[in-house]
Amino acid sequence: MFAKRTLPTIIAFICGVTVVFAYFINVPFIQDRAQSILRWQAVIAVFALGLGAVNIIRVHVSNIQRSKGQNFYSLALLITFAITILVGVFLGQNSTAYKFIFDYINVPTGSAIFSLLAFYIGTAAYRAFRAKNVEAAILLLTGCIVMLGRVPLGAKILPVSVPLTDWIMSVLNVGGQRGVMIAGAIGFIAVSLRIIVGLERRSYGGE
Amino acid sequence: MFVEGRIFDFFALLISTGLMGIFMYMARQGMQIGVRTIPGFDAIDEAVGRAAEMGKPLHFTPGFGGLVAATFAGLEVLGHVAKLAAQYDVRLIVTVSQPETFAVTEQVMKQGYLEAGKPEAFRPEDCRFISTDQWAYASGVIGVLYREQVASNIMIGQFAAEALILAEAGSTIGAIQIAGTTNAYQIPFFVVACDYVILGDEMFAAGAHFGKNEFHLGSLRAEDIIKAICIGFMIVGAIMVTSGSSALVTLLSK
Repeated sequence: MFAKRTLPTIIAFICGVTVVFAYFINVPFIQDRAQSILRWQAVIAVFALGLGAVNIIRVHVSNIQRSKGQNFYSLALLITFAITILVGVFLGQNSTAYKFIFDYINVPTGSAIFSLLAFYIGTAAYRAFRAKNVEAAILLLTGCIVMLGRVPLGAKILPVSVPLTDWIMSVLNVGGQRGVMIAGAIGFIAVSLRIIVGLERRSYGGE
Repeated sequence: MFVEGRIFDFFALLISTGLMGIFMYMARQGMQIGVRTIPGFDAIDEAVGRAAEMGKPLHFTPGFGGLVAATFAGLEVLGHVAKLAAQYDVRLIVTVSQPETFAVTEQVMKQGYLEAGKPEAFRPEDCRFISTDQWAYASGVIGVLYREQVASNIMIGQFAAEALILAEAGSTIGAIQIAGTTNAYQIPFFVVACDYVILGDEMFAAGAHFGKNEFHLGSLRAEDIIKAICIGFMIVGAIMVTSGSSALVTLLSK
C-alpha cells in the first residue's frame, strides 16, 4: 500500500508543488530543483518507452502466432522495427542508413497519412452540410458564407461574404474557442490539484 | 521574488485551488451537488451494449497526449468502460500513443476488469502502444478499426490534427462514435464525424458522473464558481475598456 499509493502521492506532491512554484517564483533554489525534476521526467519517459517497445513486440508476435505466420503486416513491422533499432544503435543517428530510413520511409509515410485529412474533411463536410434541423441549417449557412468569403471568386459572387466571414471568424469563432479554452484551463487546474494531493485515484491505478 | 507578469496569476491560482479545496471538503461532509446529464457519457452504456449485441470489439483511445489533464479525464472514462466491457463480456481494445500514458492506461484497464470481478478476462495484448509519432499513431488506430471491425469507437482525451482521420475511419466502418477533447480546434471535427461529443471541460465531469466521487463533485462545483468569476471579470473588463479605463488590464498583467 505504501509503495503503491502513499509513496507515489508524496513524490507527486513534492514534484508538482516545486514545478508550480518555480513557474511563479524566481528563487534560484526552487528553479534548480524544478529543472532537475523536468530532467528526471525525460529519463523516466525513456524507461516507459522501453515498456511500449516490449508491448509492440508482444502484440505482433501474438498476431503472427495466431495467424500461423500469415500476418504479413505484423511480420513487416517486427522486421523494420529490428532493422531501425540495429541501424540506430550500431551505425548511429547521423549515419546515411538511418537518415535514409527517416527521410525516405518515415517522413513520406507520415505525409501520406496527413494528406488523408484533405479527403476526410471533404467527406465530413458533405455529411455535416445537410440541413436536417435548425442547427444543421445554421451550420450549412455559416459554412457557405465562410467558404465564399475565403476564396477570390466568392468575393465576386457575393461581396458581402468577405466582411461577414471576418466577423464570423473574429467574433463568433474566437468567442466560442476562448470559452472552451478558459473552461478547459479551469478543469486542468482541478485535475492537477487532485493528482498533486493524491485524490485522482485512477492516476495511481486505484478505483 | 515573483516572476514578472505572473503575480496576479499566482494569486488567481491560489484562490482557485483554495475554492476547490473548500468545496471538496464540503462535498466530503455531505453537501448535495447535482450533476446535469451529459448525453456523451450516457451513450457509453449504449456503445458497450451495441458491441455486446453485435459480438464485435469496442475500441477506446485516450488520444495523442502524454499524461496531461485531458488524458486523465479520458482514463477516468476508460475505467468505467473497462468495467462495463468486462461485465458484458465485450472485448475492449485500447490504443495509446505515448509510452508514459501506456503504463497508466494498462493499470486502469486492469483495475476496471478487477472491479467487475473478472480479472482473468483482461488480455494484455488488447492494450496496445502504437507509436509516439502522430501519423504512425493515426495509421495504427485506423488499422485496428478496420481489421477488428469494431462496433463502437470511444475517443476521449487529448487530440490534435489526427482527430478527424480517426473519426472518419470509425464512421466509415459504421461504428457508433463518442468523442471528447478540450482542444477547441478539433471539437468541430468531432462534432461533424461522431454520434456523441463531450464538449471541452465536460470531460472533467467524468469522475463525478460515473462514480459520484465526492472530490470530483466538489471540484466540479468550484470550477463552476470560478467560471462565473471569470465571466464577471470579462463583463467588467469589457465595460471598463469601452469606457476608456485600463485599470483591470493593468491589474491582470501584474
